[in-house]
Amino acid sequence: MSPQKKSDLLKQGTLELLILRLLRPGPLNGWDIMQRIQLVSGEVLSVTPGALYPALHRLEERRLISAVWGASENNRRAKFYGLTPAGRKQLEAERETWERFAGAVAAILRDA
Amino acid sequence: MLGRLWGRLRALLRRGEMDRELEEELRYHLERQTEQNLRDGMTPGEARRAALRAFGGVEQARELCREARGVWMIQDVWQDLRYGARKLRKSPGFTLVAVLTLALGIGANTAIFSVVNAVLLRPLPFDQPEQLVRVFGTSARRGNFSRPHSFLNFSDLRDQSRTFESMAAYTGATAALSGADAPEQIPGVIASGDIFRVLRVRPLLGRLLTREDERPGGSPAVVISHGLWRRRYGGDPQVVGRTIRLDGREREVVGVTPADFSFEFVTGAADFWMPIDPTASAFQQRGAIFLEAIGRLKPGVSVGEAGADLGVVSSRLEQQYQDSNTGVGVRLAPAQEELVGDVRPTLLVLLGAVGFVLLIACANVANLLLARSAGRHREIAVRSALGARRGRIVRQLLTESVLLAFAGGLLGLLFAVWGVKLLSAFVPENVPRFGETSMDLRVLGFTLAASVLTGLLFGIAPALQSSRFDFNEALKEGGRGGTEGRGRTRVRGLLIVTEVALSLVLLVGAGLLIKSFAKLRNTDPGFDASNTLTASLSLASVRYDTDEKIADFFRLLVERVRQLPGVESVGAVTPLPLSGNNYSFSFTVAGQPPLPPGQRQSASARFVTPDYFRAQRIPLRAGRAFTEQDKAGAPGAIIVNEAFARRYLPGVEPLGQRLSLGVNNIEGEVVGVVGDIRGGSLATTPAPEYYVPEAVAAFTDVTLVVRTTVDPASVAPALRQVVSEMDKDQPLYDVRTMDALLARSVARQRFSMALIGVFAVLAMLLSAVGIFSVMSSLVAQRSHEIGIRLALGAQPRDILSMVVRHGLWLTLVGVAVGLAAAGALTRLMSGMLYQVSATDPFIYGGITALLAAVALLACYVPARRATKVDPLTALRYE
Repeated sequence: MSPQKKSDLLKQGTLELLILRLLRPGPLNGWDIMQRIQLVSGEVLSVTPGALYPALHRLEERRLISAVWGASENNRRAKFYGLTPAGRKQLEAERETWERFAGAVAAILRDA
Repeated sequence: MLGRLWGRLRALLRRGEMDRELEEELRYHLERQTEQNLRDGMTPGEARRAALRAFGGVEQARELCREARGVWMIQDVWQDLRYGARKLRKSPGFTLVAVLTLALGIGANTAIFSVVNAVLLRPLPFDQPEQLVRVFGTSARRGNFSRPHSFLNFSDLRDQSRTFESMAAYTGATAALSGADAPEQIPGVIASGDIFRVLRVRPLLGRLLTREDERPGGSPAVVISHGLWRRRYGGDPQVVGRTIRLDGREREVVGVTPADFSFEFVTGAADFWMPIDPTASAFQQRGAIFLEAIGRLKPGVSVGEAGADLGVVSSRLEQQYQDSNTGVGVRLAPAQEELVGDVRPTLLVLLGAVGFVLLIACANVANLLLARSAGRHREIAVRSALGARRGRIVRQLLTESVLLAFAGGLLGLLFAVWGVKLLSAFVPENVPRFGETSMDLRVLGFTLAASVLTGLLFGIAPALQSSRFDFNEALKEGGRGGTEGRGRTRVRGLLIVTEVALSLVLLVGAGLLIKSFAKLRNTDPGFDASNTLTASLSLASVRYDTDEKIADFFRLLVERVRQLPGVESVGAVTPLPLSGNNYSFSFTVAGQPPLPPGQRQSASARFVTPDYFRAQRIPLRAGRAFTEQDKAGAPGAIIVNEAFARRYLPGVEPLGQRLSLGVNNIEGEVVGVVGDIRGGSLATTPAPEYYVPEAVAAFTDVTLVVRTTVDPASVAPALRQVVSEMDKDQPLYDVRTMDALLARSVARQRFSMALIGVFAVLAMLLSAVGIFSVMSSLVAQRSHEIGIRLALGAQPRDILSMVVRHGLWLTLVGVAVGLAAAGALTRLMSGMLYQVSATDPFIYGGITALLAAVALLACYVPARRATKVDPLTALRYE
């Protein structure tokens, strides 16, 4: 499966939820976020920059994350995104919903 | 919320910076990816290419990021507008044709809408106009048609109603204004005292009429209009208190109405307002019905409630005055509805017709766009390769169409201003409120909405069409512009079908109106209108105070006019046929059993001098005409028309029957029977009428009917001279030929016929242009195929018939759709037709043939061009 196809598995809302979760510990830039999604999910989930950056801009537009320009690890100028208080709240709300949903699905699969 | 808006605004202002930041952000990502690839052991070139590939479309990502932010919408629109404007500037020919076509369509619609707005939509120019209602009398015996009130009935309704804040009665009148200048007959209103209270009008100068003016013996007060004040008294601020002579009687000007006040419930502009005299004899009879009424409802009262309230009062009156009031009721109608009700259907039909013209204009512009989009294939392919999604391209193309429509709308506004001026030169004088037509905000809103909708309408099909294509196909076709896709050909065929169908409906509508107008004009009015001059005069009852004086004056006048050179015969009549006036009086036939109250017969009466029938050339069917001997004191003589004899004297010899009339206690014997005339309008069947010698009735208002051997209008100066010699204070008014009167009586029909005719011709021309352009470009696109056919031995004749058949097939489908639509839609205008069925087969057949012929012509020219294709040239392109 090519990376392009795999990213289809990540629906828009899911991708945004993932981004919010990844930003909880602290600000990251786009490149880092992409690496982390692949790292954390053990290469199961993959996302293309073509999907990631629009998602970041959407979140910024909705004031769930905010961006600052800072120095990256190799000392170059990069755009870092961090959670806003509204983003934090949104993350909690969505995570609950997601867990309830995932729990329910898991329970059904277990029983079946 | 506010902060967010501010953020957006700032973003909009620093969009250059945001673009750079986005650029930098994406570049950073690519660089990191490239570095990683280098670490994985790729060559620098490889590493960079792999990074781009992994990114998956940098341009698309950039577009999506932009779209993720609301501000980009605004920016996109702006960008699209500028791009669209640039594109349009680059093809001035296309732009000019499209803008002109649209301006014509939108302009015509704006013009008609501005009339509809003024006449139908705008509330009457009075305070709280929704409270104003017209109050009519009804008579059960006459099918509950509306009729005026007697003063006594009106005053009972006024005093006993509980739902009206105020109510007033009025009637139109004219009066001779004499003084230093030449005497002048001016129109005015005689009204009960509360009229200005009902209308809530404030005076410009002095005071207006009040209830105190409605006093026994009559108040000498008169209110004059702003127009008369300016025209006759030079706007003199001291006019209040001045004495003027109206109909020979001194009156005191007490006030002037404001400039913007007009009262269209009477015909003609009202220049004076006089209070009624409740003690005058006409105001003391319940049988004398001649007053119209208007009232203002109390706040919160509905028309229905007020109707019920007055219904109670009128049934009480019915009990109380059985003789005059049996079967007499009331009907209420909102004042505005009543004023403009009878022009509403005509205006709406016109609005519909002009809407069709706009739709056809849209179809033509859509056609142009489709033809153009064939050439824009590559541009669109390139744009979408550069990351524009389909929605984005459609949006851009639509922006371009709306831009085009706006240009058309702007120019259309100019056309509309000009069109309304043109209309006002032709509009019949009896269309109420037409004078209020102006470009207000609602009209501008209409134009704006029409432009946007038009832009979307003609833009959507071409936009969807051009943005749907196969990438590879488009790029492969390269510079050759490509052939028409099947889809596009289908859309263009559909446009032709639509245009033909719409034009057919309009043409059928116009055809029906033309035919019914021709029928109307060919209707025999029962008299000969050619070579006839008419002129009215009203004798002042102050100076002509006895029947003898009145009769002598008219006898002498007729005598003197007959002596004028070029005059063949002279008569006088009251009321003149087609003048809009109708006097109806009751009568009884001697020997017939008396009828119960409320069923008394009445018929239209005309009061005439002996030579009237000769002057109007109304044929005498039996008996004799009036002579000079038929005067007051002589045995009464009455003449009836054939309709009267049929209806009221069935089965008996009319001559010798004795009638007694409900006017001036006239009794007499039927001495003659004359032919029927259409006195009300050409479209209504002749009514039963009877004639009484003017010398017996001694009416002060008559109209002279002068039959001439020369141009009738040329006799007018001599006529004025005669009157002025007899009485220098006596004005002559409404001087016009009978032909002009006849034309005026059908002016409304002529107006709607002419307008719909113009729209229909416009529609037909636009459709012809549409068919022509579609067939031309089809031929151009198929020239390659045609070349092959010719090379393979096809005859030019075959090619000709192939192209013509294609065009005619589309036309015929359009005709079929149009015929069905016309059958359904023309029913809406059956009220405008006279002696023509809304499904007249001749009109339908004729119009179909006409349209087919026009379509044939529009196909023939391109088809001829197709036969001229040189096979060698066509094939060399391969």
